[in-house]
Amino acid sequence: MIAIVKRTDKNGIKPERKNSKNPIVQMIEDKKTVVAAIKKGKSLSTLEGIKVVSPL
Amino acid sequence: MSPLYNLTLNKDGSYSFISDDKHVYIIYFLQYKLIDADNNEHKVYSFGFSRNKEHATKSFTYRYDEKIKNTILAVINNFFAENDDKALLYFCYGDDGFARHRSITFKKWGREVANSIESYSTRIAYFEDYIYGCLMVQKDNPLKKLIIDAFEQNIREITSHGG
Repeated sequence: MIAIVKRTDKNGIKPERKNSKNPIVQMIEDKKTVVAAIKKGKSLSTLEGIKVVSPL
Repeated sequence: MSPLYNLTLNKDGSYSFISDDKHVYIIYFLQYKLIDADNNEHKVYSFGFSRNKEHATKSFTYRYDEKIKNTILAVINNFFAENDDKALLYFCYGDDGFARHRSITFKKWGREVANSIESYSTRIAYFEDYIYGCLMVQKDNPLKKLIIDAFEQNIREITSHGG
């Protein structure tokens, strides 16, 4: 089993995005946004409408 | 057991690890819903990772490090160990000309994940480019067919609209 060290912080709760876009298109576009944010060193928790989760 | 890098859970919900060559990898999961033909909602996750804040690849730039592959595979296996009723999606982009290469590598890795996981690969014509996608799901997930059908239906919708 992989070991995970947690960095705790209080993330703000963001409202869920409401739209009827094809979810695959949404995933493709969101991934572009995430890639750009990582490149700029932006926290992913600041990305509006994108639900970053920690399922491990 | 294969050697792995330890993951750190970052404040923004992503995970990271640092390779022996001091490259920083960020792994992230984004959550979505797929709606099937019967209007059931299925929680699915889009998965991605970057190296040194970059998504693009340059040929023959880095030393091969098996622990990186092992760590990514362990992340996928762990995901399904804890979310056996969910699906994981991965998309490879063509902006650096390496989408197909990444997709081939990822397919190869896909054959090394736990036997209980099945992969469904697709190529999506998206605007001027192709995006390679892969959906992974547990073989014994009772909702597997509904999830795959919903995934394929959404892909067909994109293809029929030309991106």
